[in-house]
Amino acid sequence: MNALRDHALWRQFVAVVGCAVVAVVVVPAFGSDFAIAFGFQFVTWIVLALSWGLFSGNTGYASFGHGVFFGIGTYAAAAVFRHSDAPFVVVLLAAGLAAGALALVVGLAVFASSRFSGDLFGLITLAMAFVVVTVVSNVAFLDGGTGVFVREHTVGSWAGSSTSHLFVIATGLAVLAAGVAIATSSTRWGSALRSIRDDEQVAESLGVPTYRYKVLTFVASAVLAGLAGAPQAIYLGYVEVGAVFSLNIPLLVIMMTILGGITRWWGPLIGAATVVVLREVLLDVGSPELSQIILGAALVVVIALLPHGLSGAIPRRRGARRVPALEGGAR
Amino acid sequence: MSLLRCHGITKRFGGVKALSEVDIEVTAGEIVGLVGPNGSGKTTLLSTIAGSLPVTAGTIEFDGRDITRASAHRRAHAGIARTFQVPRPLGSFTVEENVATASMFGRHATGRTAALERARGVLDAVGLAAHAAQEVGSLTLHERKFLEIARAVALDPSLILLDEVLGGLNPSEAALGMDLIASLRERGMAVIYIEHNVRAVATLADRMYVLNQGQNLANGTPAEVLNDPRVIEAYLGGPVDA
Repeated sequence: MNALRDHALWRQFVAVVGCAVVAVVVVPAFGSDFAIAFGFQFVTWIVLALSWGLFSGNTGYASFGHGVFFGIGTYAAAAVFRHSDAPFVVVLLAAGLAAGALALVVGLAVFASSRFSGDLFGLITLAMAFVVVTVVSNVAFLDGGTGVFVREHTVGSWAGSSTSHLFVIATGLAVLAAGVAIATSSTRWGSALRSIRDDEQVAESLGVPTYRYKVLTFVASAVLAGLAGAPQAIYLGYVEVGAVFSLNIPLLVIMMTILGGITRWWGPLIGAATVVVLREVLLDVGSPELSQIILGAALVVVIALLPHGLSGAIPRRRGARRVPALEGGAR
Repeated sequence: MSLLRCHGITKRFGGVKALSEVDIEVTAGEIVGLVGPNGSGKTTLLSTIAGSLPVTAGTIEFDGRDITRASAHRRAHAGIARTFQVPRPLGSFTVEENVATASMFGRHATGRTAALERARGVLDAVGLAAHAAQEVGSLTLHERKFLEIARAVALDPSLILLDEVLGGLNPSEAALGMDLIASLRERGMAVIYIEHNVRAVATLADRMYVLNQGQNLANGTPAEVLNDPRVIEAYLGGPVDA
């Protein structure tokens, strides 16, 4: 793997790990309960935005189903908590696997035909959300329509005993998501995904196995969102279809990613930061409707002024994208 | 032994028969000209060979293997490269990244660094080395056409499908293009070459095929084809002075 020898990418990853370590030490030690809970939600949004950008940002296939993968992860975690005494690692894996399995089935089917690209792909992912909500509402093992109490099963465990621990877990997932995002920045994988976004037929003619890349990246994106569902289940304490599968979740994720920009891997990260902070600040405005309007207007302004998002507005260092690749090979 | 053998290729779009039982054969290392009036099915035939369009009926054999149902990227890996009539560069890639993508995922897939190095070599060969680091949006038409060729060459193919790569170029650019196409044969590649300018095709081609209304009309050496009365009638609409 050429990417593994790429200095610049490693430096970025090390910087991400460094920030995460500082956050994990500082926030629980000095933060108030509110700050820790805010921090947990904040890094969870970062995982969701980065993982949405991984597939939809890179390939241009806008998915409205990202909330479903997060929700499936949440419900899978809740089900494991309720029906077993499995350790948290198992719960986490179950959450990721459940979301990944759904994405694999949907991806294998949808990407098999070039008919389901563009707007139609978006509609299909939206339809997937409605199907999943209906299934979860009616399957007693998962929910069955009454909601699931998780807290009573988790309160004695390490993960469930403190929000600080959830913050640590979610931050770990954010590092993982950032690592994957970096792995698709200036690498072979990233080139394949962006060639699909630019012109899929041309990508195929150049030898890019587009079907395989789309399916695998869609699954990777879903697994990350699903993993984030596990700590979310504990945080919520009580999971219920209306909240877990709220359409606000994918819409906010898309907004974060577009606001942050998709031309850099860290675009979704600063997009998530901006939206989360803005939402919190706007709570003081008083009316939730007004804050929604301001948030929406902010998105419109950014799109109008900065078509490549906040991250795209920051100039690239000349040759910064290519020179490291050459140095990497010489090592 | 033939490198490419297409037998009975039929392609329907709804009720329209774009290709009807077309046969075409290409031997390794030869330039085959493919001509015909507008709408005769030349580009459609090229797309079925490249795998961008599935055939309705017929078989395509390449290098002794049946590739009729193979996906486009598998055909690229097998050694078939194509260009697009209207250049389609990858818009968010630089010139060298466009070419490197073909090296990275093509027949002899390589890592990014090696691919970029190879891309620079190919760009040098087609005369685009000075534009390597540019965004594709800054290229002129003839540079875009040559970028199409460079990308195809970077796949290291044994058959290259050229769709009107000289169309819209001025005479000096077209002359450069013809030299470039001749050099592909010298590198051992077979070429199927579609062009509106029959004289350009006749100059370069070892053999020619003429399509009319989605059917084989004639084939043979350029001299044979150009003097075939059916070709003159259907394609040129009168006697030729060439």
